[in-house]
Amino acid sequence: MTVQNRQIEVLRYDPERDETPRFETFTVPCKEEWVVLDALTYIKDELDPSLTFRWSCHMAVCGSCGMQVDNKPTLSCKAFVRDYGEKIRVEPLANFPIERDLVISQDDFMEKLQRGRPWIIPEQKREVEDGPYVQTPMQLDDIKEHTMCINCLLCYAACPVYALERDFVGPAALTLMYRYNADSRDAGWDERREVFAGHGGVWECSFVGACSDVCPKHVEPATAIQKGKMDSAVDYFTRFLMPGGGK
Amino acid sequence: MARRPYPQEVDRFKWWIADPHFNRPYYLDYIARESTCIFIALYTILFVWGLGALASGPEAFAGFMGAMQSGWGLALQLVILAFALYHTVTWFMLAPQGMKPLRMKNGKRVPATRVMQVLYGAFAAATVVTLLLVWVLLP
Repeated sequence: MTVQNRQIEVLRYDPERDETPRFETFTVPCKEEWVVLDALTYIKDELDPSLTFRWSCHMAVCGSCGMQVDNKPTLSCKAFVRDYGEKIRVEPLANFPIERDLVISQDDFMEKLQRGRPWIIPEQKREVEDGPYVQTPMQLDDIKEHTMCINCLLCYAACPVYALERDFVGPAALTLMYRYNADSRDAGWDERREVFAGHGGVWECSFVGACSDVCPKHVEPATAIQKGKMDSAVDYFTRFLMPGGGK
Repeated sequence: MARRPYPQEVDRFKWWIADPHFNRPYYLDYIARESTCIFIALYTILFVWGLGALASGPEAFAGFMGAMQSGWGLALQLVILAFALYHTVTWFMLAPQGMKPLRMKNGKRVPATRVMQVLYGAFAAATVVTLLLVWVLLP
């Protein structure tokens, strides 16, 4: 098993001491099969226990360990050190406020996610004895990729619109809203309309497409949002042009 | 312990020359794709100018044609054509990403490459029809 020393350059920020974030470099003997998260764990265990970062599953399922690795939003559990150079720069996810070291504040996303009502709003509520809401495999296939989101927020860190326009609901939350709007069992469009298609909604997106590039689960947020624009346009015209609001 | 989150801001004018290591330069590609629409607008202006000249009479129209057929006029049109093609091709590339899945008879999704083939086919057909019209109508 080969071990190679690598320089891990970590952005540090201690809200009790630092006015601004600063870089600190650690020399870490990395094994060949290590990911960046392993290197951070080594630093915390052996070099500086104060280093703060989020992680949980270590297998790209939980979505906790998103960071900028060499300036790209990445799950640090999926970023093999052998794919990087001798020096690896690790920073907290871009566009979010830094709480401490590599931990960002998720407050803004959480608030927007909830406003989007990302759950099934059925036309008619079923009781337990009525059985589940059913769906054919093809109806599921229409939205399948958009259901795979793990809320890791890499797409927000990649999105220049979110960076500049803080009211933008953003890729992951809009994709989840689209996923439910387009779900054959859902009838919640009217309840989601204002957040989805109003100020800060899908029309803020200018289709840069970087969100889909960084997504570790191939959720294709860029696609979901463009399809959402189409739905919104159809909804607009049916409501204003058709007698009875298209109902 | 009070929270004191440190805000991360980007430069409103320079964000697109930032260097995030995406698989391709998304920010630059985006700016290139969107800014080339200026040349489409420019051609529209030329076109409207031509229509205006046509309406004003044969002399004005001859003046317009003269300007278009001069070295500078041809160079300008070539530059516009190049950027318009770039604009078109980059939007064609995005089209499959912005569509709801189309399904074939067997229920499988129509692949993105097929969508692009249809777009380029339509583009080629429109070009051929236009050239035929010009060939037939020109004295």
